[in-house]
Amino acid sequence: MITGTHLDHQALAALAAGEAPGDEAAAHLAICPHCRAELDHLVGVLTRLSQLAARHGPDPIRPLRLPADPAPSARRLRPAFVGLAAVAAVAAGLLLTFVRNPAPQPEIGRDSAFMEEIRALSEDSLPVFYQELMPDTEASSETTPSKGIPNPDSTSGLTSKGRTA
Amino acid sequence: MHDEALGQELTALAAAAAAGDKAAFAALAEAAHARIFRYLARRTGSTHLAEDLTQDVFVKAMRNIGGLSEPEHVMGWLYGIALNRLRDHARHARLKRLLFRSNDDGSGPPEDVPDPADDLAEIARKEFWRRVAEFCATLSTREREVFGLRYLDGLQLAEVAAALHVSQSAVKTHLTRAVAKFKGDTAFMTFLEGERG
Repeated sequence: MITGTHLDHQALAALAAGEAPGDEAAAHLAICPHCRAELDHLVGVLTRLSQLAARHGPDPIRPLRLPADPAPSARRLRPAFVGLAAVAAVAAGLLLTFVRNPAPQPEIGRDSAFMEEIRALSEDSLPVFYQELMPDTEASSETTPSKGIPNPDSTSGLTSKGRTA
Repeated sequence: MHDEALGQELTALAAAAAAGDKAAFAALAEAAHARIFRYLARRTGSTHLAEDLTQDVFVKAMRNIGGLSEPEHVMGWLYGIALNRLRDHARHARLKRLLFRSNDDGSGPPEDVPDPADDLAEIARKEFWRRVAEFCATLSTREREVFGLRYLDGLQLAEVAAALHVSQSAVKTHLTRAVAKFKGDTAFMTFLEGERG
């Protein structure tokens, strides 16, 4: 936490991110104007980032149109189910094709690549930030399911459910 | 930025809307509209697409507002719906692309954003987002998610946690890593400090 005579890089980052300081860090902050200034500076630049993001963000053009009466019967099928159903339909179609006309070896290779693509679809992955600005990162993340967004349903990463109010 | 009074007003509107007050929901949607739109525009890169998705988000919110259990985190709840809508859209776009061999996934460059080379404000805007994108590329997906919601969308920690359905301590863990990288990026920090306004 404290390297040499001051709070280290990691400790300052944690405090700026909103972690409560431990006893040692709190005691040090109370007596060290250098570390207080470092922390204030970091928090200040992060605040600046928020202000600039708000100023440079686009504004909506159309007003919101809310339905007069949101009838539950009008509720559409959950898109996730539609997606899964479509994947299942394609898989069933491919299976039928296989059973009727056993494909030659190279075809199997191609189809398994196709199935792999379909499997990747069921993985959760978001469009990367600012696609128009970062075409390269978009291309790489499209083919890397492991870089999926933190899905609350997934088993990895951010999974702790205990929300604090 | 998140304003204390505005937060309290949103909480009151959300509580009334959850209890069935339609006018309160309309006022809530009006107050939150621009923020949700900006988030979706930032994530999709298209203001046209963001308009459509924003509409969907509020229609869904209207249907489900009765189940809102924490009106004080209504912004986090709305961002959570927006995030789900983005996921669905990404899934559909890729499925469509795969099945129909179409490249039109609606997430191309924003076609409707003017690009006058002589407009200084526009140049500053582009440069800002280019720098942000450059920095965000150094973050992991989870770090980027929490960092974006916290500092680009201006959500409080509790709201980020509500949007992502995770604990605040999980948010802080990822945010700390992202802020450590931010602190190490002196070029980006210097750029932000030099920006006027």
